[in-house]
Amino acid sequence: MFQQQLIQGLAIGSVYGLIGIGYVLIWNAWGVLNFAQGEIAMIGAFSVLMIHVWLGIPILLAFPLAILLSMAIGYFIEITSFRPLVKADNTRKLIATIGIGIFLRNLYRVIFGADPYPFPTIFGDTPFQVGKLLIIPQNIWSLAIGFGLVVLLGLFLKGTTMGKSMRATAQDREAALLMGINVKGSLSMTFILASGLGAIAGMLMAPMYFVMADMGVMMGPKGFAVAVLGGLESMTGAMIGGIVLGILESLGAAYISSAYQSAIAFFVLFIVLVFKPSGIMGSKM
Amino acid sequence: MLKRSFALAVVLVMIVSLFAGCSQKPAEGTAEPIKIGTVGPLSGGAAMVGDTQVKGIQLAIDQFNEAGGIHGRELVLIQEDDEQNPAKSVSAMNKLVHNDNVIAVIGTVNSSATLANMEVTKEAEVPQITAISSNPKITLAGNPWIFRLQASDTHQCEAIVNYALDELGLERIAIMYQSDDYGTGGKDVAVELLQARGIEPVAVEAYDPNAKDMTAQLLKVKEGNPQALIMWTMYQQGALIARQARQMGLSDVVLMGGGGLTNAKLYELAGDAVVGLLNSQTFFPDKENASPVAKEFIEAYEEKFGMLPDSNAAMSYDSMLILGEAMKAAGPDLDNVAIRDAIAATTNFPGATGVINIDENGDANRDMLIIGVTGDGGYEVVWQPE
Repeated sequence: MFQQQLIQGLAIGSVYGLIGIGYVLIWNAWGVLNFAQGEIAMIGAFSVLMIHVWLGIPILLAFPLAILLSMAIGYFIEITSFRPLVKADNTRKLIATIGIGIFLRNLYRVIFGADPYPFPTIFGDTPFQVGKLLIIPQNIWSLAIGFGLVVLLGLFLKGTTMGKSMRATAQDREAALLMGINVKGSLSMTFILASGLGAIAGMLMAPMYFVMADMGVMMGPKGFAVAVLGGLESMTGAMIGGIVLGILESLGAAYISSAYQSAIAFFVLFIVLVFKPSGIMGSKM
Repeated sequence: MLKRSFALAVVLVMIVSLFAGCSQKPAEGTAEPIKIGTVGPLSGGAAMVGDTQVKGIQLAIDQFNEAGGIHGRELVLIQEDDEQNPAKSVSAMNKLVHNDNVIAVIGTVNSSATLANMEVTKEAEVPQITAISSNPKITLAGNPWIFRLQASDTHQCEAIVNYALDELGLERIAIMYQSDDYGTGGKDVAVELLQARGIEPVAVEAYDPNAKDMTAQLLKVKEGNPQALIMWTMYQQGALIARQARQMGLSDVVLMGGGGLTNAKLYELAGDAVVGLLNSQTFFPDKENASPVAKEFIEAYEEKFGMLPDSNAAMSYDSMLILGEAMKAAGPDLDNVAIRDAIAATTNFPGATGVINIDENGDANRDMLIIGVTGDGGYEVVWQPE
């Protein structure tokens, strides 16, 4: 029972972590939390639903296409909604992200309706048994893709010119501009990457939790919580934060009370903010 | 030139027919029609339900009118949209009651909206029947002007618990519920009913109404080794629970619940995981096994609208039938108190949703059906009252 709960917590936690990474990316580049990140995941889930299920394109092709589509939508949101606010103070940017989230959720509800759509299993949802433990293949994939992306993103940010200019922009926008770095391009790239990440999270969620316009409402705040847990600046921290939160939720429901499952998560967030405001992996604050 | 004279002729014809229409009306019926109001979500997410409500009421009104109206007067239906929004529902109700001066109102769908708009009819002393809202609070508010044809959550829960214990003879029962008014209300009734029969549920687990991952709760349910899992939830989360329960190896557990689970989407979302799922329901369009009244209703509805009625249509239809009979009983001056008292006095009324008695709270009491999901994703009646 304990081990099984641990495994389930690990699985849901890796999805939380993926959304958390999106928060971290944008926080680093833009200095603001993007509260529309849950909705970006929703867009990703709908993109793969449209391309794979409705157009019938095979999944191996549909996956990258859906990521590209979500990235394009993310870019469109960035130039229409966030770019005009480059010089605005952070409070206004933050409120803009909340507004975009509400707008996107309702736009998708108007287009696709409020009902959830079924999504076929891609990774297989028939559990296999290891000893007394049940393991669902899908969950292993979520975990592997989550950590795989952390590694890939790390390589991209440290090893490529584009990644380096993104980091430079994040550290000091003025200085980066003086050094001839394309700051606008770097910011756009960040939003595009974060949208791609959100889309991957959405696609991993779709087969387990169906696709619906409201799916960001639950995932967005969880992603935010794990980003804070992880220290807001570290992608590895967000991933670990996600897993910590997932496990806490599972064990909390099992050994404390399922009626307080969500409260437990935010209670932990509260404790971390009080005693270690820089988060699990955070260095400075 | 030819064009212009043609257009002129068309306009002339239109004007003449307009006058003809005006002069015809008073000549045909000497009495003013009786105005009945209905409030429902005619746009927005629940527009389908609002539309079904209107169809059910309209069918009953047409049948009354074909039979010569009530007290020789024709019935007309005035519809108002509330978009499931309590504030809009109150404005809609104000319009019906104060501008249109309706005799009685049927509606609305959403429980929160009914709880808000029933204050308007109470103040104006206009009889109101809600055909679809299920929240127990509606009829427990001590408001003598509101009646309900929907089975309240209490009655729905009673029906499924009694079926599990009496017909299936089960003893080990787990409960899962969404942690809002709807879920908690249902859970409380279920726990109370089970305890009254000397049975302690093996697990009682809650989840957030937005939650997607139910595995922590299901693992606890599994530990209790139940024969049945009663879930008080809507069909979206019902589908999630069913799928995850099967994944977690809860394969022999009978899944049960209330009317909120009945939806074609349930099978679409969860597939084989929900085959055999049972829930209580006021009505099911099964012509072969239906009572004569229900059979007549199903056939008339199908003929008029080209589709089978659902439980919402049937309850709306019954609401209008009961209202119509009450207006007949109240006498030709249609006194509001007399209509109210006649609705309250309804006993053994043969409706499409069963034999209905209105209890002291204004709730419709009837023996409910138990329906189950079949292998092809449809529904069948598993149990019905004799």
